[in-house]
Amino acid sequence: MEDLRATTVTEDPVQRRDLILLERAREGDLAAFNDLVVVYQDMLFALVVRMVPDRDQASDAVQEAFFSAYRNMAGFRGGSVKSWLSRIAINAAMDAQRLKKRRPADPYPELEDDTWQPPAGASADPEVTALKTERHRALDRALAQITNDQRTAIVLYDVEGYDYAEIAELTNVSVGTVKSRIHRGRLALRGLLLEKMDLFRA
Amino acid sequence: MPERDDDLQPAGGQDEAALAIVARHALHDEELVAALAAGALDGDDEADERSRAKALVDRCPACRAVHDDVAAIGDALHGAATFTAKAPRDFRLSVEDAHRLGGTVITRGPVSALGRALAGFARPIGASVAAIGLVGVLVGSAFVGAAGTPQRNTVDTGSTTAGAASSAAAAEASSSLEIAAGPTTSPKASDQRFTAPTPAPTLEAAPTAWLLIVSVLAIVLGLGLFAYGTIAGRRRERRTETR
Repeated sequence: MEDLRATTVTEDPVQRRDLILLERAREGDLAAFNDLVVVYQDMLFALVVRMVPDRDQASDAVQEAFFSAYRNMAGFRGGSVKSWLSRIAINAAMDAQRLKKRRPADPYPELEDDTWQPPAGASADPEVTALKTERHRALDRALAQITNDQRTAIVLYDVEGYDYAEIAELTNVSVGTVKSRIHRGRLALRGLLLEKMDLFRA
Repeated sequence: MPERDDDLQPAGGQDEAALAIVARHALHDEELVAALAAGALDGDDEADERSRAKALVDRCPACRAVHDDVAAIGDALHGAATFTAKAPRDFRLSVEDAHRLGGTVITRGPVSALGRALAGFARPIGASVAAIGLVGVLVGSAFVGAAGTPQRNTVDTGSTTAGAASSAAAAEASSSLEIAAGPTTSPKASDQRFTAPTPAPTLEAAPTAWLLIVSVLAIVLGLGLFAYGTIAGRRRERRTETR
């Protein structure tokens, strides 16, 4: 088994820490793997629950993602552990979406309001924070109503910051299809948010 | 159904203009405008589409509104990344999870692998082995019951003739005693009482004893396997329920 610390030179202390933890996990240290879980479980849940707006299903998908990561950690070939885990979580979320599609009788419930926490900042204006929270809530509800493909593309591009080519690779479609899904998805969001557009124009 | 006559009046100049805009806009490609707002037309290959979309935005107020709204939604989506969510449960893996998923160095041992493999079918195998053991015990007991009287006589003969020294069995016992005691010792009856060996098992008794022993062991092993399978199954169910 190759030593990840030796093959992957990184100055980023977070990446360095992740690689050390993953290396220990690969050597059989379950506690090291669980440290990685603790570090990234909130981030991955946030990613997945945007793609699968059902908290229970999103939880299951995140758990599956960590199982899959544990099972396949021998196949990790260096780079960012965070990106590696994110990709696994995205795949788990898409699997959950497919599962949902096979059982359409159970509609997406509205997201619970306490799912999201606004960004913390000492200088944050309460009024601005309230506006952002309200906007985010409306956006999440609208996101839950567009198609899975559009939502996945929008979340990965607009929220997670992946580029078109990466999304195309992750979702196994062409770059043109990704672009189309994104702007059609945004258009669909506009249709859903038409009465609340003042929140977004502010 | 209109309630007032005013509702039947033709639209004013402003309304007509608005209607004209809507009618014209209905022919416009909103997706193209949305693609422009989403930055999907920034490539060199999309130069024609970009210029068409820009023309629409410049000339049509409705297209401009679409463009601005889509761009504003894009900005809000970018801002959504700063919102954090708390995981509703702890996703850390238990040792059992690690075992199930292929395990760590420690849990990848052959014993552990055997245990995991066995857990799936330990109950039926355990029940079968215990049942075979029970049958063995019953058959063995029947043999012992059938051969019980002559066997007891043989044993009795061995023990009583040591003192009486009146039968052929006693003579055999006596001779074996002499061998055991050595040539210098005298064959006294009092010594014979303490050192006389038990008689050699008969041809029927030996397999019966082995059958009983093996059967009892099979029952113990079977019950053990059954219990192991039951416990492993309950753990698996508990893990499934908690997920």
